[in-house]
Amino acid sequence: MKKSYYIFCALLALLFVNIHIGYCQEVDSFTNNKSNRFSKKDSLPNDSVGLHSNADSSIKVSKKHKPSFERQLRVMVDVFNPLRTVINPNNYTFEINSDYNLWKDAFLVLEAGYGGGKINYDNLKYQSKNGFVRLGIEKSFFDPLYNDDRDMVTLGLRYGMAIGKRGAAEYTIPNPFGGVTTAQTSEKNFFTHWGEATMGLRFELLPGFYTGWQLRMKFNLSANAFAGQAAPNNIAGYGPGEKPTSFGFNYYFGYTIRWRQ
Amino acid sequence: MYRVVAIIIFLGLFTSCNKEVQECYTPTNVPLIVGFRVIDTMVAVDSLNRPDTTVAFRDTALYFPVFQTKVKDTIYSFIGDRASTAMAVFLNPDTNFMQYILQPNQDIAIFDTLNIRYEHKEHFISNDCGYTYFYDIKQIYGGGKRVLLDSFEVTNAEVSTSQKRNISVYFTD
Repeated sequence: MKKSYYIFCALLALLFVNIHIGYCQEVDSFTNNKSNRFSKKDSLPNDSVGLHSNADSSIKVSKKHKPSFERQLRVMVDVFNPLRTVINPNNYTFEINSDYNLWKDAFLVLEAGYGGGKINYDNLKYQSKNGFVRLGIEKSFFDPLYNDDRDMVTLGLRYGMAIGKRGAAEYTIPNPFGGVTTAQTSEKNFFTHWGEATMGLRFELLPGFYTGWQLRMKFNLSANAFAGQAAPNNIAGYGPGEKPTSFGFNYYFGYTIRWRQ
Repeated sequence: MYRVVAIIIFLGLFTSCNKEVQECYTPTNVPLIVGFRVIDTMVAVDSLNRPDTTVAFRDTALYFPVFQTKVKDTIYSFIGDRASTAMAVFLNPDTNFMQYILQPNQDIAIFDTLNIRYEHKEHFISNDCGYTYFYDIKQIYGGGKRVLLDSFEVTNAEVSTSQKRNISVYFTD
């Protein structure tokens, strides 16, 4: 009798632990998977709570449980601008993009690269090169369609800075009464900064391997940096130095590492 | 679906990239714009036999006006339209002074002289257009005996690509 009592208690304890573990996993899957189309508030169905009606304490324990959170660090390389250089060798930009999720759908973004430009016209010749960084945030607005669906449509903001040098510019100015004047400007170090609004898409080709594109609308915050002087035709990361606004496009391939926290 | 859209956008943007071509749509020779105005004075008497004088300043149209100058032993003539109220002439960046002979009507041999002192400065237009000269008008004055010219006015001292009227010459009515 005593032996069967112990066996009964052990089975009951096992059942309790089993149900408790199952409940926690259920909470995790509901809170982490929007595909269930439940809000977090609705993710505890009444019958599930009813199952534990004999164990209120287990509900309290499960509420204290912090759902595990999947962090990810993604690093991607832009392939669009290097390909564009094939068509237009006077502009070149190489850049990488990395993002790290602060929350499930919000990412801290760091982008960096370098590039330059060259003008080789009859009346104007110079070269320029610069490095740049962009820092910003990005939010995904794409509801997963299935479990582990990590494709994203993103909107974001960036702040970009570039430091570089425009080489000495050789130029000619025509005289309306005949002849030309040839002159040269000294080289110029420059700093320029800008803001960006971005929109993009990321999708996972293979587990961990991503591809996607990014559209950018850029607003130069130091548009007068080259007032009256030769402005670099390509400030890598921004675009034409003589324009107060510009558009950009990137196409990325990259890899993501994930871990649970 | 998203993959297809992404590939289409990528290809579209990539194929839209053209090799850089120099395209300049701004005049690289910046002209001085001279406006023609008249001081129209009308003297009359009113019903009480009191003098009544009206002075009007207004644009006037000239019949094929001609500006003529001499640079390095070459005579350059700038001829306006049939009814020009303003016309463009060039300044020489190699000097700070130019003298123009103004013939208000190309069919009538009446000449006035216009002397212009100015300073020039280099100005970057754009990568496609390169550099040009802007000018600052410092002084305008007549020369010799004035025939039809009454006075001069600098309305916009900076000669630039703005196409604004820089000076006005006033004719007596």
